[in-house]
Amino acid sequence: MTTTAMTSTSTDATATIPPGARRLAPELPTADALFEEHRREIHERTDRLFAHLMVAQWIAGILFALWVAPRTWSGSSSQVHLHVWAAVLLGGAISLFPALLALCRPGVTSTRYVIATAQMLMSALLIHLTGGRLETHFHVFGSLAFLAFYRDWRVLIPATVVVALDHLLRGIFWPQSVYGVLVASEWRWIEHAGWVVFEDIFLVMSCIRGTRELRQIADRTAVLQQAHRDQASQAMELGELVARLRLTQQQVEAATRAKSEFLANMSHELRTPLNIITLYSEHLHENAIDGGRSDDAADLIKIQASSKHLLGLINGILDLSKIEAGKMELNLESFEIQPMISELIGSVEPLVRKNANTLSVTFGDDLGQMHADLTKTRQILFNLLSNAAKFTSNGSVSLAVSRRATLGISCIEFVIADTGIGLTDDQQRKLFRPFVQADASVARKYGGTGLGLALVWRFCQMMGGDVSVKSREGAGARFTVLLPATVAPAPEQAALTAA
Amino acid sequence: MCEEPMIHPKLHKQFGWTAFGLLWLVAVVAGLVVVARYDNTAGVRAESRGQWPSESRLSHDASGPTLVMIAHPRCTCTRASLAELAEVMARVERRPRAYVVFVRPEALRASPEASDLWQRAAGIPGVTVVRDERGREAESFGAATSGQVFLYDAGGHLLFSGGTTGSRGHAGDNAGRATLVALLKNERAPQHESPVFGCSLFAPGDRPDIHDHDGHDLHLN
Repeated sequence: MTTTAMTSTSTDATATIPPGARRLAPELPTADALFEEHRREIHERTDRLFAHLMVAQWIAGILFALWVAPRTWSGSSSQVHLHVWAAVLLGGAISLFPALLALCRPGVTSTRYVIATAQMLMSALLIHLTGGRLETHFHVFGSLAFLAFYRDWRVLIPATVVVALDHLLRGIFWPQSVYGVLVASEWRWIEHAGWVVFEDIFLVMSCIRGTRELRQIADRTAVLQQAHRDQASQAMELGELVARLRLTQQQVEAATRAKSEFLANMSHELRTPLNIITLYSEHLHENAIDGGRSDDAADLIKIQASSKHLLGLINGILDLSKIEAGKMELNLESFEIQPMISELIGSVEPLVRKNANTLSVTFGDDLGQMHADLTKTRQILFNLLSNAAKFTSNGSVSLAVSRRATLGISCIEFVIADTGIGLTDDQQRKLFRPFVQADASVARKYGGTGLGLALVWRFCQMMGGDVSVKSREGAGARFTVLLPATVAPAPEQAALTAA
Repeated sequence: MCEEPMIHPKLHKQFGWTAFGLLWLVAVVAGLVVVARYDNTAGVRAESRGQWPSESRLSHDASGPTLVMIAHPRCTCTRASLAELAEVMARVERRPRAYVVFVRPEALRASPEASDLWQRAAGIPGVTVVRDERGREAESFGAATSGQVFLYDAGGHLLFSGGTTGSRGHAGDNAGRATLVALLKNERAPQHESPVFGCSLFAPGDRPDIHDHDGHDLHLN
């Protein structure tokens, strides 16, 4: 039975481990790998952007050529202007090869170098098509800025070289088209290239800074991923720990149940012969008195007392075992509070007076009825009053009963106070645990099993109530029992207790 | 038993891309050279006539310089020439008498007045726009290329003959415009000629006979 339970629990424990927690095996990418991956993504994305731009520029060039210079004339005859053919054929050649590379070989270094070269060649073509308009020269500077999207400053080199070569060769062969004079200085191209380099300087700085930031992001991402992994690992360990704890708890509960069942069985088996012993000793005691055997009668009284003590102990164990085994049930009924207390006082009073104590009882207004387990309520009060009587000498014991509302629920409050030996803080903390007494000397001096208060606490809990204590060593104790005026049946009790 | 050396397919592919790239670069550069050559190839020079042509029906200014620009009404390159003419007229304090003569080839149905060039020319301050039916006026000045400019002094002597752009349809600083401005400011000009960039005014074999006065229509705007 136990083996089966453990196997089942073990399966549950495995299921409790967070899904994916065991999939931590693959290595995390390093900061270098993340950096390279991000850079490749940027290169590929920019390649795609340029592919679109290339096609757009091509179409724009054709439209512009058709609009501005569709035909060239010779007298009354005309033919398609060379600029239109240039826009279609040359523009297509310039655009399509880099666009093809961007699609087939995205992210490859040579692809962006070809794109950079093509973009500058496109600038040259567009400047031609627009008749060398100054405004079209901004295409060069805009393209350089666009190329900086790659965050690779080396891309600016071929672009700048194309612009410089273009000006150098035009300056040599057609100076007027570039510089507006028939004869220009052979070094004038440097001035034009210089302005491009001027922009390059800032773009290179921007690229280097962008790359540095990319590096920092990669470093931070790697640290974050490692932290997430550590967290996941800790979560996995925590999950395993929780599963183990759950298993242990279940084992403990199973053991407790087994113990309680065993105790319940044993208590039952012990109580039967003990009752017989008690009955026979009473019978023998009566015979001894009738026969005038006073010595025998005194011994039989001791046997009876010991039997009753043992019976009380066994009854307590039986009750506690029933509670722990979940077999203790509430027998709810409605009863008048005041008569119940009066009846109880009758049986407690001799115990109180035994140690020369006084007993006072106070009833609040409108006590009326309560709906609870009468036997258990009575036992709670009996245990507390007998304890108070036991630990108080030449003092007073009092019981105050009143009705009050707690959290909107009508409750009955029983306050049992005494002027006895009191309790230390440590004793108060352990007070309601079973088989625990203040210390060994208390057991020797005052007797008792250590079950009374444990049962008080359990019964209060069962009825959805609570018990608390306030005490100082040597200054008496004050126990407060709070029970619902109407105790709910079992399922509702838990809810009330939680509230 | 010789084994051929194996070429890795990746290298093979790389070589293919590189070769294609180089071919592409050569083709594109060649294309740009063709376009540049076209743009920078000047039109046919005007026949040298040192004096104001007696056949011209335009009125020569005997008190100052007279400027004549001959243009084809559909030549897109002439937009830049007109822009440069406007620049010249704006830069000089004392404007010359200036004509823009739009040649109307015989076979060209559309009227020059309908072209955007006519509107542009008419918008230049101090310029008189003229329609030259069949191009006899242009022929009398010896012009062959749209955008051709002639500048004569008060005595009818030719001071300048050439274009006002640095290449086809290319506005901006150029030697022709600089010379014109200098001459009109009575400054020393480095040269008296410049290349003309534009469409041909006449198709081959289509030049008019300037001595044939039938139909020699000149319409002033």
